[in-house]
Amino acid sequence: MKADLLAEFETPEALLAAVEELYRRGYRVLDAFTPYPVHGLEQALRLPRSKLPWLVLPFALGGGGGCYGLQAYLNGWDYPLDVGGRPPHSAPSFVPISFEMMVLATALMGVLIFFALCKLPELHHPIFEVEGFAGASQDRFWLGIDGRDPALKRGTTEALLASLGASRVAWTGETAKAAETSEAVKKPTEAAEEVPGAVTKEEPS
Amino acid sequence: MIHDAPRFQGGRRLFAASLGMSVLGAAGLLAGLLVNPDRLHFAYLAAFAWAATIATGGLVFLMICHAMRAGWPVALRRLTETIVSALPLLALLFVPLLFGLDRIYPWTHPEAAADEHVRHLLEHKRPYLNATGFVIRAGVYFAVWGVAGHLLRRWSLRRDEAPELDVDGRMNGLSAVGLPVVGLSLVFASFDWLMSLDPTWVSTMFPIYVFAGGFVGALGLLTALTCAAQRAGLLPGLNGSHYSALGRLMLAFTAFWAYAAFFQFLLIWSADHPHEVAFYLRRWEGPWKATTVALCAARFVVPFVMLLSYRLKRRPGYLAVVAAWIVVSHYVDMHWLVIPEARARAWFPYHWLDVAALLFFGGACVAFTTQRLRGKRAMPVGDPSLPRALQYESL
Repeated sequence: MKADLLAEFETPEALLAAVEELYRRGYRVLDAFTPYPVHGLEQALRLPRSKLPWLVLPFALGGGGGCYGLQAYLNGWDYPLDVGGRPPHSAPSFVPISFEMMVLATALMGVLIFFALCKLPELHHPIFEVEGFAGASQDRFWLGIDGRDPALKRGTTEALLASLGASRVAWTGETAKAAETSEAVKKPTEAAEEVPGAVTKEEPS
Repeated sequence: MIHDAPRFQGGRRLFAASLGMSVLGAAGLLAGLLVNPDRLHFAYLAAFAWAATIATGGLVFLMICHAMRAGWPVALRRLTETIVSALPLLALLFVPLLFGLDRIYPWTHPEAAADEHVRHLLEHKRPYLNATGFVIRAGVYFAVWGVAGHLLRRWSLRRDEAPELDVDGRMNGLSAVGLPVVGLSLVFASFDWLMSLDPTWVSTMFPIYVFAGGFVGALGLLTALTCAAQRAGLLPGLNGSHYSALGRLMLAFTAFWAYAAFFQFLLIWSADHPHEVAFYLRRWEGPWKATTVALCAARFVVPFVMLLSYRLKRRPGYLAVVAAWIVVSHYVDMHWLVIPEARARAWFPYHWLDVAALLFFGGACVAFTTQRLRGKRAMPVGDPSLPRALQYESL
């Protein structure tokens, strides 16, 4: 997700309504930035379940199984020790350490994979250059549309967002510079009865 | 706005069926009294322990929810209270056991112990392990549980009719003060009723093991009841998140049970003291070995792996099957704790008297609690926090 077109809303209700309307009009790559979790937003955005549990599973099994294997190899085969007459391969005594290693491997890899999935750490993101975006962590509700969204049309989408109640519409980063010539960015038209794609305005270079 | 839920009026067929089951079980138990009275007492104790640990597990769940003013469990409070409401009946059904203490508890007759050391130990433990103390303590346990369960249920029911009544403070206070008392009484009840079957064996983990099993059993029963009540239209407004929350609790306490079970075993296995390992050796010889392995699988591996699934926890029908499985496996657990102490050398550890006791206790408790819920609503409609509990959502 790489929010290219951003829109600011005053209330969570307006944001939710806008997300629903955009989805109805064929927009699919949407994201939202809110100061607190908004009830029903995940469903409205149709966010899929996280892949994290499945990605972590092999590390859980590998960490636990590998640690059990290591203990079995060391104590049972490589250097057997007689501890109170027990057999060298005594499963019960291997369980706590295998369990701990499973938890360690799972938690550590969980954090690392989570960072990788979020593409973190990221030292700079153009989204923060957008004027007023800091409000997303205070009292404003921002909606983002990815540039790869097939329904996104420069010129019409801005107007549509404004008609949905956006108090501010802005492009991010390079696209913002490229769009500086576009009238639509600065003055979103009042009405947006056009279905995206139906009317094609002049495309900026 | 006051949420409305219909009153529970049906259940006549359930009542008749469970009463029939209980009568059938009682007939079997009476026949057992003539055929094999010793085995009968062990079977009776196993089924009693099964029902009592589930009812007390429900009580602890109810009190924890009140003590921490939990949100979503309000929607399931009445059903939890219904599980707890079996306690007076269980107190009554405990009485027949008192006439057969000498058949199951070796500490009732220390002089009969063959081993000198054991005889000495039993004499030493006599100030605690004696019939009078046993009866008085059982009375105290049932009084503590009964009073806590009764008051919480009565206040909750009263508010159904008079929503303006403010009983939150009372419920919260009683639960906060009562939880340590109930916790301690559960510890000593498991010492008295189950651990003293082998009076020379001690394990400080044992009460936690028994409680963990009963708690997850109560959650299982609550889940199955919730599913049934919702299908009967008694719980309008309940959603998949409530089931998911129940599923997560069952998952957590299944893991907790396994933790208690494994560490009790690990400590005893590491120390390798003859009088401690005897408990496990008895359950690792002959036909019991298969039961022990099956118990680990049925009580931990199967429910744990099933409950990991996100989708399963949101499908009431499937979740109820896992929940019922947990309730049944809790009986296998109690059977595994009690019956090997009968020291009966049989090639097959199960007996038709076990089935009779199970029918008797299961039937009697279902019939009794069905009757107690009749005419009441299956949700605490007077509780002002119910609408919020029904809006509960977890992703």
